[in-house]
Formats: sequence, C-alpha cells, structure tokens
Amino acid sequence: MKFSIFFEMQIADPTRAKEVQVFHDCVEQAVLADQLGYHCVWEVEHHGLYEYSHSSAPEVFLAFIAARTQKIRIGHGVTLLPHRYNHPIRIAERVATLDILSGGRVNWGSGKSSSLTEQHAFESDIANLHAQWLEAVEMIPRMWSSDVFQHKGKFFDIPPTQVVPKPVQTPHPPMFAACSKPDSAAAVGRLGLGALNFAFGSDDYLTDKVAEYRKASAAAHPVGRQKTEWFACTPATLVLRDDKKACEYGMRGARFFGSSMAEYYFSGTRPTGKLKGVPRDFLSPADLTAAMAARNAPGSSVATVVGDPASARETVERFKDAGVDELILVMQMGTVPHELVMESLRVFAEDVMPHF
Amino acid sequence: MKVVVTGGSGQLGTLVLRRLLGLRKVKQLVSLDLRPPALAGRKLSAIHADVRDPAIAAHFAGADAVIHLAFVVTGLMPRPQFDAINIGGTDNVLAAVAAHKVPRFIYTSSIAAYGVVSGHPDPIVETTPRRYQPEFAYSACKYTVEEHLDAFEAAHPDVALTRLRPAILVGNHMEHVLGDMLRRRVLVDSETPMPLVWDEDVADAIILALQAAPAARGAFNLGAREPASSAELARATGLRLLRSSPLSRAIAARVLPLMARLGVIHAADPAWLKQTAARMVMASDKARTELGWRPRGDTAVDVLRLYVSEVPGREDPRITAFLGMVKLAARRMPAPPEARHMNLTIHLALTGPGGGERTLRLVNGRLDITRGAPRPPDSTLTLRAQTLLDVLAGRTDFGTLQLTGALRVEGDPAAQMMLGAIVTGFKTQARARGLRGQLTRAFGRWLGAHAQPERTAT
Repeated sequence: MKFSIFFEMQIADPTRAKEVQVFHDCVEQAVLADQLGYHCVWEVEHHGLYEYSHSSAPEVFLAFIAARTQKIRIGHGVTLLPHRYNHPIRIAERVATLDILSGGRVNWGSGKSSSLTEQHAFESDIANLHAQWLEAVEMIPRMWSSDVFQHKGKFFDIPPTQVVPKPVQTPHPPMFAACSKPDSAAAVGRLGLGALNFAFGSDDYLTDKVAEYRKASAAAHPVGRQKTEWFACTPATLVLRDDKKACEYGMRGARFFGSSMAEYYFSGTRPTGKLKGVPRDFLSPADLTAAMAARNAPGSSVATVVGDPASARETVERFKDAGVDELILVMQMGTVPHELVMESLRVFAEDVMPHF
Repeated sequence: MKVVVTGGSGQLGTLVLRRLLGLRKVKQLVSLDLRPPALAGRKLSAIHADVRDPAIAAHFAGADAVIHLAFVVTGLMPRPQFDAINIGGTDNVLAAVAAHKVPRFIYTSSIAAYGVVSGHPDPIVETTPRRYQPEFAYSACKYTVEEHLDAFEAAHPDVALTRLRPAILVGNHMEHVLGDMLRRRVLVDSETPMPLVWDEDVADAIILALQAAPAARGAFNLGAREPASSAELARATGLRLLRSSPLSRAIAARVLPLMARLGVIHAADPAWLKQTAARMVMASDKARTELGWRPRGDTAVDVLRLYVSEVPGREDPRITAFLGMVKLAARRMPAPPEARHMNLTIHLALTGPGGGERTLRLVNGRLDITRGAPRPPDSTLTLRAQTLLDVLAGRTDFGTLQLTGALRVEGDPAAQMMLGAIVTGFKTQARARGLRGQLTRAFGRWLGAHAQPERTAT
C-alpha cells in the first residue's frame, strides 16, 4: 500500500498573515513527507472556497514543491476541467512542463467540482460539466502524444496545432479522476483512469466500490495511451503517540473539514466571509469519548485515520482489506496546528507505514 | 465468513442483520424471508423464500453458520399451516444444513419451549424438563422443534447446535398485541411476573454464540433478571396500568381478534392471552458465564425503561412540522444538476421519545417524504428524535453526529449527505435576511425548545 499526503490549504479564521503562513507550512510538510518516504503530494484546485480551500493555483505550488523535493511524486488531485477554469491546451502545457522540471514525477488527476461558488464565479455551464470534463480528458493525452494535435468536438474546434512541451514520462503521466459513488468509480474505471475518492461509508460499501471499479477497469477503453488501474482514498488523518490528543485535534479537524465542505456543497448558497455553520471548538468530553469509541466500531464508516499508531493501523487495515491501493492522508485540516501535522507525518511514517 | 439467516426481515431478524452487516469478518450474508428486508448492505443478498421450500437449500452452500429465526409467533392461521411453517420449516432448514455440512446452527427457541404451564421450578434453568402443551400452538411448536433438534444433534455431531431460549422480546417494531399496548404506553395488569428480555440483547446473544470459540453448544436461557408483576413494572417505569379482571380478559379474548381484523391492532392470538396465569421465572446465568452475555436490559424494570427511552411513542409535533416543511420545500425546489441521476430510498428512523419513521425517496434528484419505513431501503439513517432537534437548534452539529456515531448509517452512505444537505439548507435559510429568514429563525426557536417529557403518568 502507498501513503501520500493531501493539501486543500485549509485555514480556520483566515487572516492575510495566516494565509501566507499556511503556504509555507505546507511546503515544509511536503519536504518532510519526501524525506520520510511518502509516495505523493496531492493538491486540489478550488476557487474562492474561503477557509475550506485556499489552493487555487496548484500548478505554482506543485512546481515549487518539485524543486524542493527529490523522490516524492507530484500530484494534481484534481485539476478542474470545465473549460472556463482551464483550457485543455493550458493544462497539457503546464502538466508537461511540471513533468519535465520534476524529472517525470507527475500524477495528473482531473475533476469538475460542483460548488455554486466556483460555477457562478467562472460562469460555468452547470448542465454540461460532465460533458466538458469528458471531452477535455480525452483531448489532453492526445496533445501529449501527437506531434500535431487537432480536434473537433462539442466544445472545441482546434485546427492542427503543436502543443509543446511534451511530458518526459512515457507515454504520458498517469491519469486519475475524482469520483464518489460506486457508479462514478466504475465510470472512471471504464475510461482507464485511476480513482481518487473521498473516504466514507462502511467497509462493505467501500469493498464493493473498489470491486466495481476494478471490474470496469479490467474492461476499460482507456482515454489515454496507457491505463492506470489504481484506487486511492483520502481519509482525514492525525496520528500521534498520545491517542487522546490525536483525537482532540484530529476529530476537531475532521469536523472542520466536513462542515466547511458542507457549507459550500450542500447549503444551496454561495457563502462569503467566515463560514457561519462551522464549529471550530474542541468536541465536548462526552462527544470526544463517543467519537473515540466509534472509530473502529462494527458498522462504522471508514473515513478517518485519527488516533495513536495502534488505532491507525487498525483503520488502515480496513482500507487494505477493502482493496484500496493508496491512502492520501488529509492531515492539513483547518484548526490542526502545523506542528502537530509535522509530528503526525513522522509518527505515521515510523509506526504505521512499515506495517503495510 | 458466510452466514445465512432465515427470517431476517422480522423484529429480531432486522437487529441480527444489522449486527452481521457491521461485522467485518462476515463477507457474505444471505437473508431468507417472505418480506423484503428492513436494511440494506452491499454484502447482503435478500432472497424471497419460504422456509418450507426445499429449494432454499441452494443458498446454504459454503455457509459457515445458519441462524434460524423464521417462525410464526402469533396469528389466526389454521393450525396445520402454523405447524407446517414452524416445525416443517425448521426440518427443511435442518435438512439443508446437513446437506451442505454447515458447521454451526443457531436457533432461537423460546421460554415457551418449557411449556407455559404452572408447576415449573423457580427458577427455570436449561436442564429443567420441558413440558408439552398441546393446546397452545406456539408453545407446542417450540417444544416439538426442540425434540427434532435433539434427534438432529444426535445424528449430526459435527454440527455445533446452539439453541437460545429468550423470554418475551420487548423492543421497537413488536408485531403483536403487547407491542400495540406498549406503543400506547400501557401495560395490562397481571399478578404473575412477566418474563421479559430486550430484543437488542437477544440479537447480541446470537452474535456472541456465532463468534464463540469453541462453538457454544446446547441451550441458553435469555431473560432479564428480577421479573416483576406488571403493577410493579408500571410503577417503576411510568407506564399506565390497564386493570383487568377474569371477565375483562374473557372479553378481550373475543374483542382483540375483531380489532385485529379491523386493522386497529396486530393479529391477536387468543391463546396468548390465556397464558398469563403460569408462573415462568427463568435464570440466564449460563448465557452470562458461558457466552459472556451482558444484557443492557439487565432487570425487567431495565427492559421497560429501555423501551420508554428508545421506542418512539407519539411523534413530537416539532418533528412532524419540520419534516412537513422539508417536504414542501423539496417540492418547490428543482433538482440540482449533479443530483439529476440520483435515485435513493432512505429510511429515516428517529428513535426515542417523540420519534417516528419516514421514507425519503430521491427520484432523479427530486425528494419526496412519506410516512413509514420503506422495504427494502437503499440506506437506513438512525438517530434520536431529540438529536435532530438539537442539531436544528444549534446545540450540536451534523459533523459531530457523524464522528460520534450518534447518526448511524447502513447501506448507501450518500444518504447521510442527503440529511446533511437538509440540515445545512435549513440552517442557511435561518441566516438569510428578510421575512423568510425571520420565519425560519422563529421556526428554529420553536424546534429548539427543550422537549417536554412524554406524558407517562398513570
């Protein structure tokens, strides 16, 4: 099993100074992750999701990380493909450039995001998001592999054009896509793409989702020049030697993560300013006790890897049993101090990673 | 591990399936029942099947354990049919177990297997002689099945056979007259102590028996300690006591079947009403020591206290109003584009005082809410009615419910996003400016008012 880290660039109660600090903190975390043998740094692309994600220019951040690290892979998890965000040619160019400069370390994931905040800001045609994604995800690998690219489709009509530079990985960087439900995981598998999933649901639900993905991937018609069969999950994570402390900070962080996401994705509105429905305080002692007991209880959701190494190993084992190839650990969550993320990276690498 | 359950759609079967769905080492779960199941799970195959049908044997191939719960408890069906299902059905299941060499067989017998007759020792233990009671069909069936189990056990020593003998199961979704009474927070007066057990505790015992190593062979009584008369139980738990006399019981025996036929109450078997005179005090120490059984309903009073705190009585008007408002709002709202292909049937079970049940049906992204539980659902969401009110009033938040397990999810986890969206949508409205925001805030304040304790005075 591979272990990676994930950046949303979350900031609880942002100030300009905090924002600057979070970017530098994330660089430090990525550099440490490289030294500790983590597999990949994945970063999202979101626009205007204040507090939830300040990561709007991942190509810049990842280029910076590539320069500061040696072995760790550099992952777009994910680039937004609806073309109001990114023209497919610009994505092909940027990813190829990053692949050259990083020495062929790029993983490229794509998605579409369904927040009203982003869709309205970029005037995306909401009804067509999937079609836009599908057309672009097929165009980009062709740009990488053909000397002269041309295309005529629903959204683009591009005359013969030389898209340069070309990536150094052959035939091109491995391709991934975001998915949530089993049928969308299967759809991603059918296109020969690796699957990036938020972690939630019971063990048997996740097992089934992986199985449906693999079945679809086995019979894939890849959109790229190569198939990537790979299933990754992104659990909220904080692993410290002190179980209670890990849970105090980790559960609060996981709750911030989930609640701030809900404000942008489920409120039916475009919130501005500090998010109002998001709790930032520690869980009450009774709630903390219940949350600690619920972690690996029968029927529980496999969504978080929070606690001491023993508890973390038990949860990772569940992901492994479900057939997951990679865990993309979300340690950088709003309200979790940078020092604890650094400690968690070390503890996980020492006491959990070697067991898998 | 593959487990086959017969009667997985019933009161106890649902609780057993829920536990098996949560057990990681159970990889395959088959439920045989005539009704669709009340739960969904990716590893659950629910088969429409009659225990009398020899063809069910095909589902036993490769099973590591069979849990046989299918049994007709009450009703007004002709005796030959009653016997054919209960005795013939069990014989058929046993034949399938033998044919496929299933190593473990767990059967829920009953306290009634001892015979609901006077003259039993106090307490009844597992070795107490069972007495045949031909006039009470249920008891007679339980007795005869145990005779058949004795013969089966002798012929198939390689099958580890566990028989659990629970007292009267008290819990949510009791499908008989006692349940109809308790839902109205009423107990019928009777001098003889009522042998009771909390149904969740029986489900726990079944799981303990399934996991016992070495296998738990033999019989195990399952009953709450300190059985008490209904007057004592009512006094301790705040339930109302319905005085009864021999005359009123005789009238009830005639009136209840009529009420059942009119659909006012569940089918009432008059034979059950005549069984209250026999003193049945059962000791369950064997289950405690050998299975490690630790019932939440430790004493009879605990069982009824659990009932009052867990099982909804009358629905809280604030719950009714909130869900009604969501239903209206959903009707006016267009389906969001990314949900347009979503189809999901959710069972929302609000437990505890003031709770109730709803079906949330998402059809091509459009939500409709109706009363009652769907069968089968794609997902089940369980939380206390008071917890939902607490979330709406801002005393807790949705994220905490997910982390603490205060919200339990079975089946498709998208259901919790649906409920999360309903809660987030409501709270967002309450922050809006203008009249709509003010009205939502006022509504929210009303919803958030502390729950009145249920009226349980005698």
